Amino acid sequence: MDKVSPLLVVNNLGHVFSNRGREVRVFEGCSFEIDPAQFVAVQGASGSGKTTLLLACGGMLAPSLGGIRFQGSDLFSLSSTQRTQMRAIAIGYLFQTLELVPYLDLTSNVRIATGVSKTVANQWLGRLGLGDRVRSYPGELSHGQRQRVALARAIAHKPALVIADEPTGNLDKRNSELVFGVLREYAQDGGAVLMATHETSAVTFTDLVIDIENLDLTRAKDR
Amino acid sequence: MSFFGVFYLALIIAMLVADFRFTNWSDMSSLLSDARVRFSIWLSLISCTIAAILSLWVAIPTGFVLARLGSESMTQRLGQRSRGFRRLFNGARYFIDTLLDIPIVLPPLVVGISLLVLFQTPVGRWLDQRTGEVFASLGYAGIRGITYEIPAVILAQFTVAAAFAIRTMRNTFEQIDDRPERVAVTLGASHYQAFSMIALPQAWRGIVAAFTLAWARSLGEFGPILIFAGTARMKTEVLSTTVYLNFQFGNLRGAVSASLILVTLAIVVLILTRLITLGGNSKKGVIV
Repeated sequence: MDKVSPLLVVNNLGHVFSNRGREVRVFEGCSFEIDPAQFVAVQGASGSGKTTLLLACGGMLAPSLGGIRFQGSDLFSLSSTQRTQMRAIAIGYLFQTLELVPYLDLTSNVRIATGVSKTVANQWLGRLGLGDRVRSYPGELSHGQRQRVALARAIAHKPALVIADEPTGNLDKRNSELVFGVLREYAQDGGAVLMATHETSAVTFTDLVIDIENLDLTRAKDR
Repeated sequence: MSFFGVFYLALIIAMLVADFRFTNWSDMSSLLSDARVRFSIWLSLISCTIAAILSLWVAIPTGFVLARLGSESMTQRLGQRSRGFRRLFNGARYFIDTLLDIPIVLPPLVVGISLLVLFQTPVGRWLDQRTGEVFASLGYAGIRGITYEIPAVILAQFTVAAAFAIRTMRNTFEQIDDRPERVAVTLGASHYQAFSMIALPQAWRGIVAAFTLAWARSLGEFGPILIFAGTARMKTEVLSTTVYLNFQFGNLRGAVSASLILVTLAIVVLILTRLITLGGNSKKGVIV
């Protein structure tokens, strides 16, 4: 059987911050690949560099060391405009800070993503249990509900890769499983998912878990 | 400090009271019965509205671009460029900013003379002629071009009003956080979508303020109109020129009555603007 060419290749990645003139190494020597239809979780303690790794994979933070190839292109050899265009089409990003626009209703927030129609936006909101709140504004929702809106926005334009930074940070068990289930289904439909999470229950939904502190890759079949 | 403020307030009220006491209803009535004055009122209302719309059309995108070029995120992005590029960029930005403020600081007569001279150049004459042809083809053969015709009134008003509208829109967009726009672009929105879906709805109070300011500024415009459009009655006469013509011919009561119409229109527009822009982040109706 032909090997599927990987969607994302992270090669020997490392990042160093400068804090008051002192170098702080967040992580280094991080390598992994994500194939289409694969659901990957990144785990590690707070401050271990999960968000930094995800931002680098999304082309929003140039790493200090190593390289990232996405769909065959070296992400950081592209111009900023090319990277933005690529991200707009092929990457859906759920920020830890959510970044919803407070004065747009939920449908309009989801429609910010490339080429998403009103119907598709509302379908995703419905799928995530917010079908009766589509005309609401983010300020009228709980944090957990806002997280689900941000997830709908990251997924609605069917990107090749969804990057989700703590998508269940403030959700109860039932809603966390709803979100993991949606991401699992997304991967089964052919989309790749890279997710940072603290939740140990996430491992039952994912194909691969990366422990960023020990740079240990655990495949689902090994668990 | 507050004493001088009270004094200035008293001066404004005293001027208005003096105007109202100087004239009476019969003066106003006789002025309004004059078809030429009614024409000037209509021309004022129409030309000011067109000039204000044109001003907004220019001011919204220009104000947005100027505000974003000076934003903190742009400064951070420029930080990655060479020092020479940063200097060139900032120099060009300040130069454009200064150019756009020129109509504000120039004496109004100079704006009028500059427009008149511009339309004496080959390009200006060509444009003048083509405009006349366009109006003729549309069935308005009476408008023979731009200079000393109604388009000159609108152009003169627009030239000054647009500068004020741009300044207002730039201030408005500077007060709007650009982070949601940048996030939207990161998530796949085009720059136009980020502008139209995210920045523009936030700026509506500023847009109302810019429109009002442009409209009110156009209403009070006199110098450029006098030079560039002339004061032909039933042709290019607007309310400000009605005041001038009445004064010129010794009809002080008529001039004051026409002034009161201008004052009334200006007050109505200012009150409406304050009512519309009340609330939100607009500092309770203050025109930014």
